[in-house]
Amino acid sequence: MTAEDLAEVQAVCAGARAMSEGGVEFVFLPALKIPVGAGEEVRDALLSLAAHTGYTSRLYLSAPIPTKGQNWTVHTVLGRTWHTPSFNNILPGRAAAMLADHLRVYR
Amino acid sequence: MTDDDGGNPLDKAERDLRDAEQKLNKGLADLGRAESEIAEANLEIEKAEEEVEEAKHHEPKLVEITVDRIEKKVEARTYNVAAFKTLVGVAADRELDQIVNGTFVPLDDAGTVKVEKHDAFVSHARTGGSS
Repeated sequence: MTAEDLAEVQAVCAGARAMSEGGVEFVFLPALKIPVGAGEEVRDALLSLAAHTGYTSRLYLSAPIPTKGQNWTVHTVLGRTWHTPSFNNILPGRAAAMLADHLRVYR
Repeated sequence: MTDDDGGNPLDKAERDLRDAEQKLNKGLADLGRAESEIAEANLEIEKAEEEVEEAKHHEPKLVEITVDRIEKKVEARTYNVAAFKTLVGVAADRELDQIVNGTFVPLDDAGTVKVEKHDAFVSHARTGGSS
């Protein structure tokens, strides 16, 4: 992940930082603001920048968002428990664009 | 009593005085014309300055924004989102989000967006789907 990629993500999550585990790069997004319907939820989030747990990429959340997403599952990544709905086919690319695409499931 | 050219000195003095008066009158007339020309030139300058100011007000105000990290200059105004995407080189099949107060705000192609200085946009595919 380039410094420019990270800086772009930091425009929506000031504390964003790169991490990795098992050869997969992640962006940790503390207190990410997630537009949900007309409102907003805040969760810690972890975006995988490559295929992970059988999906082309993943956006893990610290807690599920009720009424949004389908087939939520629980995973342990980087020593922490995460929740994610079934939302697939977001291909690896620029982190900010991947994140924006992942967030569509919560609108 | 006569002067060197044989004329009456008083007559000569009167002639010199008339010549001097003529020269003075001519000088005053020239000065008057010059002052008039300066006044006209000043009016033209004022008019030109007014025209420049008016032209400035009609010039589109270009502002710097970023779209997918690339800086672009566009006119600061309200756009139809689909037209704005075309203007900034975002493919029609991609979704455009505006970053507002640290949050992605998705823009509806049929809606409008008010573009201002330093606005940031991120385009992305609409590839994700629930399964």
